Amino acid sequence: MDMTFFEKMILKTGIVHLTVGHVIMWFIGFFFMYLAIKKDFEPLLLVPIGFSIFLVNMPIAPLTGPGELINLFFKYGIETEIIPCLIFLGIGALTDFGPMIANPKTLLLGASAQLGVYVAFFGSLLLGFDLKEAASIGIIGGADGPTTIYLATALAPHMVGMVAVAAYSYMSMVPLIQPPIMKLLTTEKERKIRMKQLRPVSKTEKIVFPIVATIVICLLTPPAAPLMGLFMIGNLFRECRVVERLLKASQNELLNIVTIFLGISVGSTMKAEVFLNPRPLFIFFLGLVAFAFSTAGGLLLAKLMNLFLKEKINPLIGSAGVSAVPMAARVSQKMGQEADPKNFLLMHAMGPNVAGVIGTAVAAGAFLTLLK
Amino acid sequence: MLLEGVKVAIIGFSTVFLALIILEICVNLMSFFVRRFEKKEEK
Repeated sequence: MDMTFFEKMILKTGIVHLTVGHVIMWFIGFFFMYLAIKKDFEPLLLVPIGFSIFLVNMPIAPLTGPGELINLFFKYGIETEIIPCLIFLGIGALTDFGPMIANPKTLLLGASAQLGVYVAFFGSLLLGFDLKEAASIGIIGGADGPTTIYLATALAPHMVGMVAVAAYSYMSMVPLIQPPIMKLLTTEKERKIRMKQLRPVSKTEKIVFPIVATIVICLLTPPAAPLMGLFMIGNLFRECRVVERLLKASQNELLNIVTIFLGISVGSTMKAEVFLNPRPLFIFFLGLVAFAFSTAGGLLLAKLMNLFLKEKINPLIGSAGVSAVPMAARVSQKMGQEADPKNFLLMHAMGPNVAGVIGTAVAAGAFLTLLK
Repeated sequence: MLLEGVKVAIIGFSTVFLALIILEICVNLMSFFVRRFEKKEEK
């Protein structure tokens, strides 16, 4: 009797169910935590994601089965697409569209920087992924985490974790990925181009913009409405200056709370039995391709526009069209100052940077229209 | 499937460009009218 009880106890510990796969996943989780804590790579996301990867790979722990804690986070937060949309509300409340309104041409750079999305989409098809999976991988090139999760949940829910982790990993590595491509595709003379100071944008323009953008985007690509709608509500909170409490809640408490649930939920999809096969490697490779082509797309359109424009634009701001706000804009600023220490590109680069967020949401909307 | 993929990519990328070109035009129009209205109010 005692022996049976003892055997039962032993069999119900995680130790006897532990596999090499679980331990490999622990190390992957530790690696993400290392990147976040030691290297400061997207710590707000990579800490919860990394720990969640580690946690859900504890054998037979009641975490991700039906009705269990993290499964409930995922089911009600991610599967319903509530969390990505709430994140967009917070981002909208933090975004200043002023530089883009002052120079609307930069919207085109945000569009061309979606090139990588379609290159990676096509590459994924060549590697044997189906159309819906390929779209979920391609959107990594938009460098926009919530949009990536939103699209993957709708089209290929089994891949949410992998594409989200790839997107956030590469977003945190923008300062490493973009500079070599920027140097390769621009000349020293182009990097030294100085741009005229942006005109001041009035309060009324900033208040009207979210309404205009919502009308245009939601009428053209209705599936992007949940993302764009909440993005623009958040922005209206910011610009109208009469809802300070809602603004602060959107920028701080709400954004922080949903970020915790997002990180834990995304990490929970990376279980050993799902992750340890060649497919994630393909996804990470294609994500890198997407980022590289998106950077190149923005740069090359800026160069093309310079052939027709009287007032030249510095092509370095084109690469900021890959969203990743504000890191991509900071990279443009840094590269510009390397060529000419007195050149200030940050505000100019913020235009394509926020345009890229809209561009990626439209790209996701287009995929949903065509494939869902 | 590849042919279908090419179609999706072309239509998708064109939609992104079209949407952002239309948004650019709308932002220009919005700025024009808002600034005109603000000038009138100043007078």
